[in-house]
Amino acid sequence: MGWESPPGISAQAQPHRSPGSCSPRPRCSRCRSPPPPPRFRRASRGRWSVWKLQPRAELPKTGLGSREQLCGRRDNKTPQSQPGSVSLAVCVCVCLARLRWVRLPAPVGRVLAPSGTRSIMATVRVSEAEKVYILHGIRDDLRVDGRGCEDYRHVEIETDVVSNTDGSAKVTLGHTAVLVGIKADIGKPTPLIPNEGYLEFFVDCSANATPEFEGRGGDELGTELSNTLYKVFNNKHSVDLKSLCISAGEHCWVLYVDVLLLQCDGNLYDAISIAIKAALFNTKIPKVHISADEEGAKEIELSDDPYDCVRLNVENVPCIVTLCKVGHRHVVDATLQEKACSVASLIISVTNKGTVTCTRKVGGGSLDPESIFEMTQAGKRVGKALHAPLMKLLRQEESLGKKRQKVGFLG
Amino acid sequence: MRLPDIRKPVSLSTFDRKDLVVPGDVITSDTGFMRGHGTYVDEDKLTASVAGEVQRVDKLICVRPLKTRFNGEVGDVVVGRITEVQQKRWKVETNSRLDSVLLLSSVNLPGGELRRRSAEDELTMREYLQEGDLISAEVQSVFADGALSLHTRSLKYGKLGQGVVVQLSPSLIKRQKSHFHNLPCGASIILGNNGYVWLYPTPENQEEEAGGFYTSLEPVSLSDREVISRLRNCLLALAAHKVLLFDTSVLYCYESSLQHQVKDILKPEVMEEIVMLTQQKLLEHEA
Repeated sequence: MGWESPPGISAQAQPHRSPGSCSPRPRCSRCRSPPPPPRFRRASRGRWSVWKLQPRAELPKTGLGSREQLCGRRDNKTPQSQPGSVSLAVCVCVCLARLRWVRLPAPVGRVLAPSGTRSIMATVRVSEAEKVYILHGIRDDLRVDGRGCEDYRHVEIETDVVSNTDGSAKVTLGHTAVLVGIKADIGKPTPLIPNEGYLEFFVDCSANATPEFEGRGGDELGTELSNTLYKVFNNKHSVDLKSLCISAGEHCWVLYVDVLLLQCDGNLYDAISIAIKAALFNTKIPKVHISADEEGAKEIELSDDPYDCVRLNVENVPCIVTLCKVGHRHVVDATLQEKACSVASLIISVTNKGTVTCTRKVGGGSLDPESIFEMTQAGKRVGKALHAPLMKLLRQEESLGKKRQKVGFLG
Repeated sequence: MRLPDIRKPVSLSTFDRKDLVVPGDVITSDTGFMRGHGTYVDEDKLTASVAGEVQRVDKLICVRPLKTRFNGEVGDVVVGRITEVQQKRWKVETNSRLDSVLLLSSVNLPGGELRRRSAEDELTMREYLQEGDLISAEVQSVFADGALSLHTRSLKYGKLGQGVVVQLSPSLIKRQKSHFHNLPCGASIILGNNGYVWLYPTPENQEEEAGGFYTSLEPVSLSDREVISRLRNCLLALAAHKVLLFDTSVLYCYESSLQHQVKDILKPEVMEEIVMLTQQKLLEHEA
């Protein structure tokens, strides 16, 4: 895990990953020292890294930094109102705003509007006669590769494959290969949800997967995938976001989830969701110790011991099941050829208890309510059955620990 | 779901093969040889630039790469997909570096009519073959830039109907007298030299399908379907373990796979077992 720079260097401002998500800090007026780094990095091995945080009074006054600041602004604007009523108004405001952010799991999820009429995906050409062959095969519950309609292809999962991430996983599903890396970083919580951390997603469609992704070719698909992943995973019902909070309103862990598509052979959503669940299981967030000195300056100390870490609870993390409507039936885990024969597919995220948390229709065709219902039922059944073997495998891999020979990318 | 395993090659005779090289391997330091495809001279030593098999013709040394695009030769049987309909020609994707060409004058007209191609024929070209259609054809000539000109002027070539195409490496297809086989297991196979293999149900009356543009869209029976799916998975298993493909090896692999379910064939351990059995059978067959 060689990712340390000497403490002297880390004091310089590091370029942040996503510009705009972190406001530049002013210089400390008292000591005239350079501001503390916007990102928190661990110091060299075997030591505790310590950074001084600015006392609260010196935080920038602009922007809705925290709930107190929010109240303060309200106080200034409405001097006549009672403090109690202001805080109530703020609470209501916060609650309303939260409703927009938090998606509640419902027994039958709502169908989000499709982002476009055309489904963007690596595509293959299929002749009319081949289509007829595939369609009749699915009707008879014998697909081209011998599977039934609700069978997955061979899945292989390996975690901890990238050493400079906090958690990573590689999943191959047939010939689809996906690599997920998770990096934990200290960031500022959203003003509206000050006591929760959050996840950020980025999907990189590498031109290795298919030449179509060359240049900017994969951007559209990448954005579509990351938006869906954000909706599925970034809520408190999937991941315990409260456990990512360090100090409410000031600091929280941000999990940057980076997905790299290595090969495309259909069914990207399912492969990515399995990989994300595995990578979240594998994620180790260093323990944080906060202490305040007499002047109110806070210090954040990161533990440097790799075993002194927090693990995430992935029990409720959903898996995505994609069902493709082909002819009058629907199939799970469609290959590119089958995908070419289908008019529309339904993406369903299902938790281990069989709760549907999100559904979404992709593709240009339409689905009638009856078949959506049938597909949701099938998705629930398949998705629920997906979790138990996955968790068993992840636990088994962890129990093997260092004994297991790593395969990585050369297996 | 499982953890990945490090798999060793199951081939029975890989380790004593001296003619297999990887890039950078010195083939010979004797200066009396000529430098062919896939080789370069480094400090007076003939060195391989691709991974593959060394071939020597008199003084010329070449390396035939394992993973490659299709380098067509006149007379090769290919399976390809139409990508474009142009004036007087179709463009065909045949796994070569450039798209191949199928001229309107080198196809049989429906009904076997023999005449000059008229302007009406040009206008109805898309009715014969349209984008996405699969064809079997033969290489008629090779252009200077390496692009292929195809022809389907025989009753055995033409548009392909219902079936499954499997895309493999061209170097795995063994050159044989015939690349069309009616396998005794109940399906037929076209082993295209370009690495595209076409599996289809054996037509009932051989005369009717001949070279026409008519394709039957009648449902294929479940038993035929199962045989085709099994053959497809067997081909992928053989290709994964780099076994040369020809009618006997495919048939032996099919026979060895019969004890497994079709969908289980693609599991790595089953694949290993089947390929091992096939290789043993092939060795016995040779002896």
